[in-house]
Amino acid sequence: MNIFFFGDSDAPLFGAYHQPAATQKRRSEGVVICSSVGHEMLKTHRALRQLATMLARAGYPVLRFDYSNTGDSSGACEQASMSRWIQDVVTASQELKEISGAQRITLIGLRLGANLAAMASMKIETMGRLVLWEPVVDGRQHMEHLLNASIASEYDQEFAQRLRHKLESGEIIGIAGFAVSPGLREEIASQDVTCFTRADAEQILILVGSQAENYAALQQRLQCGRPAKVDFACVEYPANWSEHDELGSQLLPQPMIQGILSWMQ
Amino acid sequence: MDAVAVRSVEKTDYIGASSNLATIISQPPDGCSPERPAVLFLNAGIVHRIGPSRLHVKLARRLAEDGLLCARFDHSGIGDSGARRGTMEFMEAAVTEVQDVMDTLTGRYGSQRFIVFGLCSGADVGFEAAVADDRIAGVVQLDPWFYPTPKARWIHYKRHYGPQLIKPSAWLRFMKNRVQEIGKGSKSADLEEWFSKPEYIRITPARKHVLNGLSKLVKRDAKMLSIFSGTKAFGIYAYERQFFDAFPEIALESNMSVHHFADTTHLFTDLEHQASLARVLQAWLVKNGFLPT
Repeated sequence: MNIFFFGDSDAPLFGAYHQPAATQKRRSEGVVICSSVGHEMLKTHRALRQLATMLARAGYPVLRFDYSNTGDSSGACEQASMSRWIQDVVTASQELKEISGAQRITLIGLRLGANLAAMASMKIETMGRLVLWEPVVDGRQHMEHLLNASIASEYDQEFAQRLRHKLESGEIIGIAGFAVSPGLREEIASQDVTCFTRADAEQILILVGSQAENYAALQQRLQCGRPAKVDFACVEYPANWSEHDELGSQLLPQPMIQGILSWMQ
Repeated sequence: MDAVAVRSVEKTDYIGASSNLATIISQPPDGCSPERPAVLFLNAGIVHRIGPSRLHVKLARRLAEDGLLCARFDHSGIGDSGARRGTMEFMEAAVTEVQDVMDTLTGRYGSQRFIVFGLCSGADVGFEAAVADDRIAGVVQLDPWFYPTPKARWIHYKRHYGPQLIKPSAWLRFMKNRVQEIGKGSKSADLEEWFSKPEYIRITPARKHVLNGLSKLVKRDAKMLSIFSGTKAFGIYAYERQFFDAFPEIALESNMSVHHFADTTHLFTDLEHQASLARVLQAWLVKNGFLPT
């Protein structure tokens, strides 16, 4: 695995490239992994590295990366935006093609990363497959859940009041330690199934951890009038992606990782 | 704290004796000065090198802007680093890896002295590395090991249990919670298979071990900054001077600054608390001559 900075030299993105195993037949399809954001990204870092490692062993060149203003990429959290992140996915895809020679790009997106992957897929030439892993299909509910979880985890009894004041006055707030601007809050809150309508891929997998109603609506919307094959898989998952725990645990949903690998192969 | 105009230059590398430690080096914009210490950010648990709440990125970039070479890296088996080789257990390997990183920074940038920054298990590693290696001139620990004192016990019981002891409703609630906790046991076991468990289980060592280490650090005039949050996960830290009171045998105050952020979570999730942490850190660096005034 190689770690490196790529993209605009004034605003570099961090990437981790997993070379395909030499013992495997080289595949023409490269995989870009689009992580979740904020504390969800911290909790799932190990899982995505494991997924990338297993895909590389199966012969796929894989690129994991940090969006602008997150992780080790340049920029402050306060200036983050989903529109910029969508462009970052496109940039990462181009980078993977250049360093690996891949001719098609598959995007695997986890949580909000799935939303970003779906929206970026329309902008990527030679788009291959798309994996939407537990996408955010109700942005308002997601934001509310994040805010409530944040309030519940703080010891400072004035935190909730300060948070509400900042929300009302349109200021930057902190969610589990990460600054979120009003613009980014609105972008996240506006996420719903319509964001996926124009997702463009040869094949699509929706992988979720519960039989929520919105996921069925997402599946129907993607299948409607689309030549691409849309697969839907539910692996009942007891843990909570958004829950913020004090000791920084890492989620490692092995059955889901195996499920993606099986579908890819 | 994050929104600082950044002019520092960052580089990626795999360093260490086995060249398997994923590292980001933040260089000061005006170049590295070997007279100034370099700052090493250590993993907190199994959270990768960006740190909880991206704390290590924010602080490393800020300190690099101020003129300090910074390195945030993943210990073997964590984040983007390679697997651990050999038979060393976590703490022994972690200390060795800190030394490897120091060796590399000395070789490349001429750094002679170092400051280690760690939260939780990172605080433990930082302490052990500092005791083992004289090159470490400063130790910044967030929620390090600590010990109870009679005053801490009294404050805790008075604050939390005093008014409740005479309320029947409080006793009923206590019993109900105990029954629910017992019932939760089997459900917690189901969740465990979906989580990655850390290899290092944090156990506070015998007080004598920490006393010996502190004595060694004081003797060679290493400087320490210890910050305690409001977490009760590792015991009760009830008042600011508790750490000093727990070690009356040694005069710590000339070498150690202690702060108690009683309303802060273990992972510094409140942005205002992060800003306070940055201010305290900067003041400590200036006070101890690691940064110019």
